[in-house]
Amino acid sequence: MIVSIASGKGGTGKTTVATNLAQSVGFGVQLLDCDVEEPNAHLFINPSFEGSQTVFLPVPEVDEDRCTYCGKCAEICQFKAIAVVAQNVLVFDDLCHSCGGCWEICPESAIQEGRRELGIIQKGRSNGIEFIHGRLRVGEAMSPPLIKMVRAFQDFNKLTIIDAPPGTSCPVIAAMKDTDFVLLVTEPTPFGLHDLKLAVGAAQMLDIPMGLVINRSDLGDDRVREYARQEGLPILMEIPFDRRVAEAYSKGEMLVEVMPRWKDRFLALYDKIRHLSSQQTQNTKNQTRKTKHRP
Amino acid sequence: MKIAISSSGSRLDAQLDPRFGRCACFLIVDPADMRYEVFDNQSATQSSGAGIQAAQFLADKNVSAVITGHVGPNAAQTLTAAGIDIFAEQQGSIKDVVNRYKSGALDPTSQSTVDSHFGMGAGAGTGNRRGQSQGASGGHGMGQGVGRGMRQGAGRSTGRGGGMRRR
Repeated sequence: MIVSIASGKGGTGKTTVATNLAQSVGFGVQLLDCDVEEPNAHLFINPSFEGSQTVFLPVPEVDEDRCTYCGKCAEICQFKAIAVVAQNVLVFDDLCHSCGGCWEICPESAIQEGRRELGIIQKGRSNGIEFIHGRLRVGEAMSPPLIKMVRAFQDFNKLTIIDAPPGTSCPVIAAMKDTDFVLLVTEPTPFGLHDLKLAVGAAQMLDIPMGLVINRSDLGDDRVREYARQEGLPILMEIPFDRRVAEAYSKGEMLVEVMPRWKDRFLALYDKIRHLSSQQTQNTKNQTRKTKHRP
Repeated sequence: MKIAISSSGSRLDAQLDPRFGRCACFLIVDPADMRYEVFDNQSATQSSGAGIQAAQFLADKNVSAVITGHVGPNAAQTLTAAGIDIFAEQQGSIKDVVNRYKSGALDPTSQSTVDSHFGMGAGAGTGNRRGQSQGASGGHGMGQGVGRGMRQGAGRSTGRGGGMRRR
């Protein structure tokens, strides 16, 4: 099963939930930190890393001797990463989305695949947890390609937990897409609610079952709970505000180690997720069955 | 000989639009007789690559110079490679700036005058941690966007042609 942990608003507690859930389940778990712009799960899990792999994206490299300046590459490029003006071909690497359109369409076969550095991927282990994260190159604008490369390590025989980036745009979609369950972590504040609605919208569009964790649950107001009730969004866990939780976090300590009674709660969370996720699969199967028998 | 001016409107008495890549429209004028054509700027709503596309458009129209307010790094590079003179940091009506050009009072530049995404209106994401929006407002107002450049475009240039022809 693949569970992605998202939020909308940053700082609600995704990494806290992701790392402690992984640690509580322990053996047979994969934790993929897909917040490649600023991965931080490793600070808590402390995996022993087995080296580091630099990864690249293909970008066009034009052979000036073969180019006839026909401009077809510039025409096909949706991102204006290649421009042909006055017997010059300009390539803007940073804008290139590596679609390969330009080198496919070049009638002179004048464009090769060059590369630009995307970032690094690191793998490691800790207490039976398989840990993988990506770290985007400083100055690189695009995270989804690196997120996809980290997700390529998904092992379908394991429980894969994905720590998603904050927000609701392309990087989050890349982290959430094709997962079995989205666990949304929020806080009961106006900002929390506003961004939660966006995240719910995104998960609904991807048609993935969802559940909610409310962090710092005894602060703020009731509007998140009210919203969850209206949407039929199950609240799977609440974490009341506790200074000790914040202190542990600030020291890079795991909540389930500092306050061991939380381990059972995270295991209960995992059970609920499994239950809800299999219910959804059952519903989908039932629907298909109904459609087949329609006269 | 034709020159292009980034404009907020379709007539000679319209005000120059200070954004190059995301201006409302381009007026391509023959300074000799002041006859002109108006083109809506198709690049205005692009979230990225607007300057490059606008420059490419003008190069395809065989424009020899552009008069505008600000150009970003990608636009400056593409215009320069195309051999198009850039007269930046101008303001006033289209007619006024063309007359200034004709009198020889303007100095060309080959450098960008602002960071990328200058012309995006308010609400453009600056790539911060919350709700990473890339909203391009696409409005035709004179929005002085606060888009902090996410990329300092450094286009690699190949090709034999010396793109610096001056006419």
